[in-house]
Amino acid sequence: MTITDDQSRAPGSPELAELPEDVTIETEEGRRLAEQLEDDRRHARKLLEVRNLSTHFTTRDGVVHAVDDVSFELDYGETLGLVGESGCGKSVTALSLTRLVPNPPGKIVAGEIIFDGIDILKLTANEMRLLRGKKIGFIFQDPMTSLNPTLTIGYQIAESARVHMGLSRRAAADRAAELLGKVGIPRAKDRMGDYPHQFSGGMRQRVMIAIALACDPKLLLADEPTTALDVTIQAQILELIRSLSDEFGTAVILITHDLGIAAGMCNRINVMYAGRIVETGNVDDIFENPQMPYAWGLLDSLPRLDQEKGERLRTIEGLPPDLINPGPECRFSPRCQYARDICREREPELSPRGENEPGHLARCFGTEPGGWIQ
Amino acid sequence: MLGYIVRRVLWIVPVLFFVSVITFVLMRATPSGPFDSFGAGRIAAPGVVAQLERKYGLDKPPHEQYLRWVGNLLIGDLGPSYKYRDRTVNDIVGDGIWVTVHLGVMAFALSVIVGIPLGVIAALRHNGVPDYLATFISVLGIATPSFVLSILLLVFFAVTVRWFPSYGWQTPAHWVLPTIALAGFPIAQIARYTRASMLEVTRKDYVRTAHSKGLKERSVVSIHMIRNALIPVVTILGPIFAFLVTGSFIIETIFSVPGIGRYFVLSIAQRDYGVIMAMVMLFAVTIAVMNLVVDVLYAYIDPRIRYS
Repeated sequence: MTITDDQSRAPGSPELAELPEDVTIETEEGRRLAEQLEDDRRHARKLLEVRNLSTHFTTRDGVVHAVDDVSFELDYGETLGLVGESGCGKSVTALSLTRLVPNPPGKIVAGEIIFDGIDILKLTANEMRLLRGKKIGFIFQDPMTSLNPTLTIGYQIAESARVHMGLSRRAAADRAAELLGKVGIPRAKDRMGDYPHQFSGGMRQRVMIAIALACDPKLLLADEPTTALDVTIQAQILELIRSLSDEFGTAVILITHDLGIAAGMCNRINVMYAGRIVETGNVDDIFENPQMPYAWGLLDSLPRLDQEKGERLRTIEGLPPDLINPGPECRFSPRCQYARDICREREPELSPRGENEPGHLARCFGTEPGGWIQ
Repeated sequence: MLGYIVRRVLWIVPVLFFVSVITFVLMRATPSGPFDSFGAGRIAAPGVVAQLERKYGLDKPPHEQYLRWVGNLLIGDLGPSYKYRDRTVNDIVGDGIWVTVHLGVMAFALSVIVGIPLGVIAALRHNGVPDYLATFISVLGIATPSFVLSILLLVFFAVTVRWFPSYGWQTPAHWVLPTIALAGFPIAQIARYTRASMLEVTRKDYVRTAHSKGLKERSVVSIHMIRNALIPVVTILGPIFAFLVTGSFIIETIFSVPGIGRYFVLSIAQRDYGVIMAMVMLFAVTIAVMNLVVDVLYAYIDPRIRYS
């Protein structure tokens, strides 16, 4: 029995949590009740719950703790920003969610990923495959290399619709043309037979978005979707992601190192540093009341229009730590100008901040109540 | 595309011209001539050699000889053989070429049919048992000279288990051993190229995209990887084909295959000028045509390549 909008489910795909047996749906009232129940359950439930996720890479020099004990949640339709500098584990987190971490050398060593009630890490390879592209769409950083140069645009968009929605070649092509139009490619029907090299970078990223949204997924993972594009195109692509995710009700995890983009796009933000989440909260709280010296550093290092001419752009001194053998200390402490002895002895937990800022957590002794940073 | 092919075909003419001039000059610059020895240590009397040279026009200035050769070539006459005086070069080439091409095409087909899957499987099971096995076979194939492989095949299949005859070309059973012996090296070469190319493609972003769409592993490999991986492999297929269809002295000699491959070597030792020129030109034409075929195949496999 299916009450959700999930009729297009491919055979063998993981089921949503079953309804309790005491609900009868023979009567109109029963059906309404069942719908209500499913609705409630969805609201009570998160689309995505990540608990204590750790992903390691085995290298010649040792085991790199790329993602280390990361936990976060995502609501249906919500947009979450994953922010941090290069190598902080944002991309590996996203890849872990779809189990696309290249193995070897990478491996998810611990944690739980519950996506729409499904424990992703317990799925068989084939069940996982049925989720990818269908329930979770992925947009990658570099549109110049992320499309197959020897296949037509139309084929590449239609491909997942054919696999997951069981559409015929023709029906899938129609859907692909419709999507191509939706992502703003003019004369979409005529361009279905074109190859990626006939498209500009911005247009290719639009194609990637069409591919990611081809099966109307519940979650869209956008890994630095605009980093490889020039600034005017960036804005268009972000606007497209926002409007389409609104239209389809798709939740988005937006990975970026650009705080400006995160501020404009996201409901909530996770700041990551050295494989850990160091601050999380609503976008306004993070920007108005950041509670972690690393987040201040990130905000300070943004170029500003009102900056004095000739004033140097501020940077965070030093480099992120080696993730092969992270010590017990706060991982930001070597670069932190506020660090005290306690920061070098042990790592703080994520703890609540702000009085009226629900869900605002930070990992810093100095800004904890009673801390020395005001 | 058609205009491109026509232009490329026309370009073959000057290439052949230069190849023939260089071959002619080198051939005539080599000491001794076709009549210096008649085998078994027999040497002709001085007057006889001069007479023979006069008969075949070898006493004329070299440029005149060359022009006469070109003129005859244009009407399809490759000239006389100085060693097999009852046969013309046309006879020699005509008698053996189809056997050689037949053997070469079979060996080429075998190399592709075995080499490419071997390379693909090795890459897909990178650092696994199939990879080590395929790499072992490739290294063995590259390191084993064809005469060693031929003799091993003869000893086992023709002498020990007696599945196939050891020499001749009469029935399909005769074809088996020379084909395998000739294909040994190219199988290894193609497998190595394919493996390296597949490993490179495995790391490409578009392969990750294909996985992110939830395609079956089989589809990712067959639709997204192999076609891209084959682009560099096609490059070596052209020369490999040219080498195989122009024959092998060793294989044809060991298995007594009545092809033209053996004349390639023999004609040079014997200074049989007409045969040398014919063999070199045959090889040059094959290489030139195969390079064109490879370039056209590129455009077919890789849509980024378009000729105008």
